[in-house]
Amino acid sequence: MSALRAFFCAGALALVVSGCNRGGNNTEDGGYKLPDGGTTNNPDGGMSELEITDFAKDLILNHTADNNLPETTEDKTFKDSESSSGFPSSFFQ
Amino acid sequence: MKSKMRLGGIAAGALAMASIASFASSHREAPFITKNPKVDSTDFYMFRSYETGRAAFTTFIANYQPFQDPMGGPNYFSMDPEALYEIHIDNNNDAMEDLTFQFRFNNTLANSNNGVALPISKGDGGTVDVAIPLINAGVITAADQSKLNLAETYTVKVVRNNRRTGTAEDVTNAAGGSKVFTKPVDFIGAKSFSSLTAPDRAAAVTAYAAYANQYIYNVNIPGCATPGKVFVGQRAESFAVNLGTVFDLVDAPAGVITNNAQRNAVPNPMADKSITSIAVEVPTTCLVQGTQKIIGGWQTASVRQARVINPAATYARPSREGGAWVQVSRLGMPLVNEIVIGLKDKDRWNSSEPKDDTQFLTYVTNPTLPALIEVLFGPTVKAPTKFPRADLVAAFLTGVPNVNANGATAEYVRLNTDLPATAAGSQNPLGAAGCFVNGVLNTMAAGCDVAGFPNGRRPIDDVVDIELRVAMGYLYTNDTDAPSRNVAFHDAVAQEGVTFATTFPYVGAPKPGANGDGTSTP
Repeated sequence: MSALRAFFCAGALALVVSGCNRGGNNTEDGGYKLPDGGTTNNPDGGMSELEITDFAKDLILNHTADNNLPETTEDKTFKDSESSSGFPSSFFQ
Repeated sequence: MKSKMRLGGIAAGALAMASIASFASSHREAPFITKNPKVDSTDFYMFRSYETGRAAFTTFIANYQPFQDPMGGPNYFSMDPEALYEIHIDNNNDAMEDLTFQFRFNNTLANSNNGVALPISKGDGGTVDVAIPLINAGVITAADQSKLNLAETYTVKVVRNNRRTGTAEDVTNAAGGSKVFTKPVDFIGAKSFSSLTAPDRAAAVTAYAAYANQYIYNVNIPGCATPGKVFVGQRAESFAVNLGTVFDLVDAPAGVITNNAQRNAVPNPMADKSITSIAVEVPTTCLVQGTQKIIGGWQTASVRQARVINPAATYARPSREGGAWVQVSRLGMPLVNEIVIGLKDKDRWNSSEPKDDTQFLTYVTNPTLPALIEVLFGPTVKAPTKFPRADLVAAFLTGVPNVNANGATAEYVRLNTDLPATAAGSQNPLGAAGCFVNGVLNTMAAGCDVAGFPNGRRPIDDVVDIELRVAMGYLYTNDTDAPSRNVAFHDAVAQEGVTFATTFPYVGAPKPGANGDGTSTP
């Protein structure tokens, strides 16, 4: 179990929480565009939980630029399933 | 008469602005920034250059990384290569940056990040190369840095208009045109800068100064007709304050901190600390816009929004960081976030921009600091009684009309670049406060120095004493509004006890991390 936990820790994540500016990856209806093209908005109008690993990975892979503005975070609900596949070693190469 | 009116305005504004802040500087002032010491802004200086022959220039010094103990090896205090350090200037009165100097750092180990290695015996007659655990492997001199294991370099860009969407151009070395500059390694100790066999502290101090000073660069700044200067490196802590005592509910005898003769009663507890300074000197004509000669300045630090820690960390990749830049530290006027802004809003302050400062208005109109002092030292010490502190709001957020008001509503250091600098030997640590006597302007008062804080801020300005006095009503002209207005409050540590240079970058060299005699006490 400890080995499994250690593996989860491979994806240890530190998010610098921003309280500012627009969400450049937000959809027009306020949801967040997921990497797979979906959004966090449920059909019934409620907000679904956003996997924080996906959120962080998307920021790093798709939004690293000197002229971008930060994504808002307080308007999103995050979950952390401690996905062991979130950040494989190749991510750090 | 015009001159006198202008002077009075300067002093009044300066003091009023100062009064919203108090006590300490901006070292570890907000909860979140304590987790990120490499990007912690500590002191921001902005002043007309007073070095002989440099009257046409303005100097900016942005300090980062507080509470550096000189012996803090083996890694010492390199800057964060994943961070963005910035100095912003507003020159058109809209509380937004028009000119930004951006500094990015790169730290590399020798031998392609494998580090210096020593041949160690394998026990069979052969050797194996093993990387050393230190940042140098021998003596470093101005002429020879081959024994350095860690190379620290940086680039500088100047951005016009918005810091993120404006046009960024490289600042280059005036000698050769390189875009890459060297940051001198921190002052490791006497042996590393003198001799392996006969370490000598005095010799090392001289040698370190020569070594570090060679990294003061003349630079070409795009858009500026005249070259400026740049330096980044470890310096002696430039801020003097009775820090522990202040934060321990001002644990000092009232008889001491209200007696002007005891302004220097106790040793400066910051005297042995170091800091990392980013200093840039810019032709003033390149800073101002049109007929507007008043500029506003502040420093920030930003990091990428996401940081994923590498579970198999390497020197080059301990984490992977990405996303947009997110501001995590902000500093203009000293001490504002430290002692004015409520604890619950300090992190928000660090992420905020001057253009949005009205959100913090209550902290200015109804400051808590004077009330705290009254509680701690009453009943003879009384806070000002007139609320809201409209005088503070006007001065703090707008500047002083006809002096350094620029039409912007924002908290940052304002400098009227038309007012000449005061020569180093004639500067008054109490800045423009010395121009007021009993709440009334007296330009003939001894030590009246309008070139000082808060018309800009120079290294020697004792912002703690100035701000403390003004907070308690120094500018008021009657005892009803401010019963303690003429009490000479101070923190018992004098800023003028710090030694500064009279030439760029003004802030002095740090102390060595070891003395060459087997001791490492500064």
